[in-house]
Amino acid sequence: MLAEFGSVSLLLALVAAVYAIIAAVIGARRQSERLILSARNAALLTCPLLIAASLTLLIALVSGEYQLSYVWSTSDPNTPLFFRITALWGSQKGSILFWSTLMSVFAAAALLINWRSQRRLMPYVTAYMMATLAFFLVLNIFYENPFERWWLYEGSDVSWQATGLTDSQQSDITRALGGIGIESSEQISAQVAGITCVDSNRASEIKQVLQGIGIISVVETSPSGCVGQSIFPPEGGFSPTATRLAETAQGLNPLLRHFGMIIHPPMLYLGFVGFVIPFAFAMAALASGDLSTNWIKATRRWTLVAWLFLSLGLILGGRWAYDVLGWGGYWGWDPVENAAFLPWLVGTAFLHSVMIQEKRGMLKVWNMFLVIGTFSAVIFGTFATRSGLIDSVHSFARSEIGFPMFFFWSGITLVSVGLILWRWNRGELKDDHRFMNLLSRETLFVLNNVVFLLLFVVIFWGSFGAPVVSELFLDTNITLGTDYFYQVTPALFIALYVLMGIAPLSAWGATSLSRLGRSMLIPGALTAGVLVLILLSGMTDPGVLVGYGVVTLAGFVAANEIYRGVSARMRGLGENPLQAFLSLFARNRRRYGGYTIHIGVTIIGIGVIGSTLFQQETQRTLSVGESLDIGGYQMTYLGFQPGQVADDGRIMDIATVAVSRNNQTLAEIRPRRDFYPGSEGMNSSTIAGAYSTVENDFYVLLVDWEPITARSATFKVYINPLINLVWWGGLILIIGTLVAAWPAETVPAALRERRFTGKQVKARARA
Amino acid sequence: MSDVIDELEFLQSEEGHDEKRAGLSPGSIVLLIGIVAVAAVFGVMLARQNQTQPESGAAPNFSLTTFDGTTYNLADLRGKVIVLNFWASWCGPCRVEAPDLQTTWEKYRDRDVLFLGVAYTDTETGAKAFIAEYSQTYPNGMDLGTRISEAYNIQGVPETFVIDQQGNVAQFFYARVTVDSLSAVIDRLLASG
Amino acid sequence: MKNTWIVVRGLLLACFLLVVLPAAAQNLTITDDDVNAIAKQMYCPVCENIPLDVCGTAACDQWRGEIRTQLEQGYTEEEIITDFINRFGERVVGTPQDPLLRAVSLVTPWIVGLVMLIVVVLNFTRWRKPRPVTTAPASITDDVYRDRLEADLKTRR
Repeated sequence: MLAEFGSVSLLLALVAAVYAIIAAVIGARRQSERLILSARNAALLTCPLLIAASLTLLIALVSGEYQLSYVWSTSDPNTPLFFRITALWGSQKGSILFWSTLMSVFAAAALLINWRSQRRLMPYVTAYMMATLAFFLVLNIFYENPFERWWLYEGSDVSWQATGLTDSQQSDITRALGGIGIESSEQISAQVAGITCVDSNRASEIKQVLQGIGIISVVETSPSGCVGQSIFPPEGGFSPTATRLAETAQGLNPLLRHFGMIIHPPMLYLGFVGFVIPFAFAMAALASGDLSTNWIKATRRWTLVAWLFLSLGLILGGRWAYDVLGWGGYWGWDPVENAAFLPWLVGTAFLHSVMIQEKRGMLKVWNMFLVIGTFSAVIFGTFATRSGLIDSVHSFARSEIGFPMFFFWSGITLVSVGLILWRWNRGELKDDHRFMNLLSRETLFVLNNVVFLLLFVVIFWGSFGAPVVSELFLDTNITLGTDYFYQVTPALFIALYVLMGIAPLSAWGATSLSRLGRSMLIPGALTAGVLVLILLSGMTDPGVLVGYGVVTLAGFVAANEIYRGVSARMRGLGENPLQAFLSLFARNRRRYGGYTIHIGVTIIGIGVIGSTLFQQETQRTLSVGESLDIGGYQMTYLGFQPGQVADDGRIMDIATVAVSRNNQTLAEIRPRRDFYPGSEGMNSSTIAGAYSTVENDFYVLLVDWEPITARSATFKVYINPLINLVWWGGLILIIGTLVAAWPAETVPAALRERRFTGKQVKARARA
Repeated sequence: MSDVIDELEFLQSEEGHDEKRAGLSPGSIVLLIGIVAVAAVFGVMLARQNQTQPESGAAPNFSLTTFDGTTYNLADLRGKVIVLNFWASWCGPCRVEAPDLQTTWEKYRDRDVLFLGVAYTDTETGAKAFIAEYSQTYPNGMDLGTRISEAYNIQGVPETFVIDQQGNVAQFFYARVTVDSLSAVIDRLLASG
Repeated sequence: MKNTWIVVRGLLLACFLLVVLPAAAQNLTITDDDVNAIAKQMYCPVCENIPLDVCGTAACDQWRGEIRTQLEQGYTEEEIITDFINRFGERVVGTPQDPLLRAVSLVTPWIVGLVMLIVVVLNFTRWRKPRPVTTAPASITDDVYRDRLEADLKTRR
């Protein structure tokens, strides 16, 4: 019942999406209001239909409907409710459904919110959003259907003696069977050849054909039941017994049983699908010929929302890796991680350069490229990680969807770029202003874009370009690991932080050096102070000083800008500091939200430099009672509890260690190894124990132990300095993005500007 | 009728702009070609990654230097049935099939049959200990630079290929082999060859 | 700048290790840390993209054992890595050692980057060239918000 309902909802959603595309395109061409509205309604309809499909799968997961092979492969009777829910996106099929559902929610929201203000663009927006959705629904229905069920059915095995056959006899068999549509790969080979699970008519057909070419030893047997996977029952199919299904169910992939993994994929997906909206608007602008800044006005908040989720997804992904993957870090420059980072880079470049178009009407073509690049990177990332293009620890299993996704990605990129070039060559994307001065905010933003794209290029090359090129053209399999990325990216990140420090102080149009220098005075002095402190602490490595100098400068600039804004309000309006602060943010959300994001990124930068350059690690085998020293800490091995069984059936081997400093015990932590009986493949995970302070994390992994007695155990210990700043900076970044994206009261621009400091208002009142 | 007029108007208004440049600028063409090229490379790579182990047709050539220093080149071994077994000392199922391989080898060693063991991502010490443990007497060697395993697209170990006298893959075993399953294939090839 | 510096430092370190390690290795016992220091730079094909020092499979265990044995035999870090590359191919290291592959891996992104920069700079100069028909000359600074902020901060001092 559930499976039928889910499949039908999916199918109806696909029909609605396809109808919406056709109706929207024809409606736009014929300017038929009726058709356009009909397209909109069909597009809106996909949302409840897909929510219904997702809910159906969720109900099946929660109620343990193991006949659904998806439920069977992602949960088992021991799986707690919480992980039953998260199993919705725990594997390929479900995650595509989840992704499509999120996309349809975004699409519906965009249609409802932007319908009135963007009437001219909306038919095309509808068509583009639905085209993307339809593609994913096709994948979900025809390639990776989460509603397939297990079936048993009556069938026969036909087998014949294969020993002693000559080659020509063998090829006769292959040819004869091929004649009735049986591939040679379907035969069980070796001593006895055969074909399994065919119905009785088919069996006798095979028998006849074989006997026709002189194979006499053909035997037909009936096995207890053939097993198959399909949505609707095969002829004579019946469902396996509930107990048997429950007994064999596989359970969720152990690596996914973690809090970070529960919210990390949905956030990432929200970020990914969110970018479909700016993309659809940009395409709509190109297709409709309405090339004003309308599409940018309509999408800037959507872009911020997508960017917010993508950032959140990346941060949570890092946290998950740190806690569960057990290698002491949060970012391994793995192709799958990078695949999610690439759209973030282009998206961030877009967020900056879009301001130039809004303020100065410049870079129209460039912005189109960036928004298409972002979406193309999203689809590429999905394609690369789900198709088996690149082998990676956390990619999905190799599957059929590789080629469809490849064609979708290359098709969408080519069509979009073609559209831009077409409009451009017709001279319809002319800029309103030109670059006046080399030292202006727009120039700095362009530089910022160049650096972001360079980062994109080097990371793309490292993760996908080089391995593919060397395999195809040099016939060598290579992996570019962390040391490649440590060689090529730091210079670019430093350049980004430098620009992050200067750009906010520059003005649109032109900025004088002296004015820039003056605004740099206070942040510069503060940075110098920090550097002196670092020097005094004994750190003289020039790399560290440059890194910290540049990063903190960017942070101080942002903080100082906020301070100056607050004091301007305090002076102008006589507000108290808190009032001034709050209304400053309320009135200029994007500007000060942006500065807050910069502060967040600074804090992340400090954390990343600290935890990368000053990480200490050691591995030692300790007997009970023994201890080791590292980074001023002392760790003592206290004891071992083997074979602890948790609620969900996993078996934990837990070591207990005490962490102390200056002979004072700070904490007892329990690194452990979880073993998941019954799950296939990667069936154990190393869960770190950590003692966190602002200064650093004392992070312990249980590597090995003496069998049975565990009198001695091997630990890998990391000291990760300042690593918590990465998470806190992430939090600040999220808050800043929320501030910037929060819907503002709609006040005419002229009025809003006047209200800014209050100065003008007051002056006028006095006059 | 009015629909048709709308269509025509639409076309006219579109053409109104199109007076200046027809066709694309050289830069645009370079860009488009670039995108097509990048896409093509990834498409070819995807096709390559989706390739599976050869189950018929000419067996990829290789040369294997065994632990006793002999070098075997597949091209020089025409006329013999070759059993090419990929294994590793860290692999459990390989331990299960090792005695079967040795038994089968002993059964056919005097005929035109050659067994070749290829140790995949193994260490020399580990591999030699493994060979000693299962007293294997057929030639074994390391897969230097994982070249042979890449040529045969293996996905894991153990995997076994039987190559006929003409140098074609006659049989591919994805899972472990047994004396029976392996003998059946060798018998068939010896009988026909 | 920073890159060259890192490279130089790396080279110096490598020279230092080359000179000092062989002598030291013979009489010291090999610790897990010594093994991990080398394993950190390698990747085993059985677990893609996880450095060898933290990879938990049986194959990786064996590889680490091999590194330990070679260290005990007095091999240097570089010799061990070269030996592993010979045995298991270029993909065991994070950056290929083969000169051609290394050059392709490390130089290509910068060439692409350079081309991008040239395109940007060319476009930039073209943008800056005044058009024959100019629109009304914009004021030097178009930034209303900044001007107002500066003015505000100045007046009440």
